[in-house]
Amino acid sequence: MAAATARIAPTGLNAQTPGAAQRYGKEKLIVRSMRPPDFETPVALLDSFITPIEHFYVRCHMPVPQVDAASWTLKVGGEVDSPLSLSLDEIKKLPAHTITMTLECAGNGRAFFEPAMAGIQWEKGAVGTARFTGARMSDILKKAGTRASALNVEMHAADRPMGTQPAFVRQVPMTKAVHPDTIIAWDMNGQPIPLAHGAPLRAIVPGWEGAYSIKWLNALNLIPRDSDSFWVATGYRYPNRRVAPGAAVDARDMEPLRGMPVKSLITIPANGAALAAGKINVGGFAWAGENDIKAVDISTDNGATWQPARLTGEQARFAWRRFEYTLNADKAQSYLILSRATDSLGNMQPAVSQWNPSGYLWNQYDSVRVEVKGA
Amino acid sequence: MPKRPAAWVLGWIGALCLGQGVSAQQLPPGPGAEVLTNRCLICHDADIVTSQKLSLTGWTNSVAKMVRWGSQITPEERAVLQPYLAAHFGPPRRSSGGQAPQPDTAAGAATYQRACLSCHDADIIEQQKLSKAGWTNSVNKMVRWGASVMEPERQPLVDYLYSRFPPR
Repeated sequence: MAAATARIAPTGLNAQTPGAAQRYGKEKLIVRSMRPPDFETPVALLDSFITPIEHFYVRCHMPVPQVDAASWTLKVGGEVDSPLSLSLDEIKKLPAHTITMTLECAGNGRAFFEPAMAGIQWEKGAVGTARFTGARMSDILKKAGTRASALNVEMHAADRPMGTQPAFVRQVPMTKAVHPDTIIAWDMNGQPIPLAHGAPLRAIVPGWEGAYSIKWLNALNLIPRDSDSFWVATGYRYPNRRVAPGAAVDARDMEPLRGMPVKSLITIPANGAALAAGKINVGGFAWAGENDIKAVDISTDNGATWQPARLTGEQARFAWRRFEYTLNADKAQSYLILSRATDSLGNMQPAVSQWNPSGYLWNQYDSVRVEVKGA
Repeated sequence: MPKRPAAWVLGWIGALCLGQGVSAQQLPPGPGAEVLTNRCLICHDADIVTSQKLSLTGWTNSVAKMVRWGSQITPEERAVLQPYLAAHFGPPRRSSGGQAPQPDTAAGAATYQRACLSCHDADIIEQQKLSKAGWTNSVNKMVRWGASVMEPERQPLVDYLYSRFPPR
């Protein structure tokens, strides 16, 4: 917990620094890496149900490719009766479906794990919520005629690796691929998907870790087995049992990540804020991958007792839910505000995140410390 | 009552203890080591000092307490000792990005500039905090992915990255 509250991004990392993220329209984000572009949203900018595009985090393994929407095609092949090549216009003629989705990088919070592991050192802001509009992946697969032998849909994209880095190929199991809320999107928050977010076509695999929703999508390859892509066979995997921090885990004991776990984020007040005694509005968001949020509780006595927060605002199946709590801070003292979400299956955020070799799924109680002065 | 009643007592107890603790030779070198030996280790073993992780403010407060409790250390000696303690027995480092590389890592530094920064900016590397095994794995992965690091360059590069971006 202490680690989560103590580490604040140095201001020098902000994208305003010369040569930084202006060209992506992400001036207010924290630059974790310029090459490839990896930008984190400061928590204060995550205080709205829909995250504006200029505040939406960016995660890339490779340079952003050049794209031409006019000549773009999505190829569908492999275990299908009739392989297809669809233009953007042909895809847009299919019934449009809009999904409101909280998208989160699997490694969000990696910076807080001890011992540290290699990777982008995300703190709290590799998460955001957007509305994506597109065609159902199932409608596109239907056009090609899916064979019963198809087990997974390999998703290929137009970004090109650096050096001999493996291409960013991911797979989604058929059952999730044909889920009516899995779409191939061309629109984000009411505008064509911006380049950094995957123009002109992006897979949207709601509730699952962000890397399933691959950007610059240009091919679906149905396969009767598991993909041998590095990003399926090695990357985005998690131990099948709890391991000690720092432990080496055999590759055979690693399983693919899928749905994101229950989690909450306090967006107001800001960590470190100095506030006058009295009523303090505490607010934030809670989300749970494919599950709904059932409750969010707040503690101001270091987790000894918990009080329910109010769940408010829009409710969408794969999106975070707003929570609000009125803290009666009548005493001039330091307050550690903890939030703990519970999902519809009864899963509750843990007090301590489970360490794992790649630093995925950080989801322990969120915490914000504020200093309350006499009224 | 004398201002520092316990000073001679502490010195006498310290004299009895000499030889049992860490010797000055085992302390990190620097002018502070001599002050530490002469002013602190006359009463304490070195372990009580070397096990602390205090900021300069924390060390200044600790030494001030010792002065209240009878230490004969002079203000000039404190000006040497306190930064020495903070430098060697300070809080775990949040970032080591600003440190100058050690002379013996010059070869690794050159490889870093040439082979790493050709594809990446320094930002993605400087935020890491890896053990030597962690850096070895990362460098090996990048070599598999096409980084132009020759075999003799590999270990110096790992050593350099570990020296600049260790666990903290």
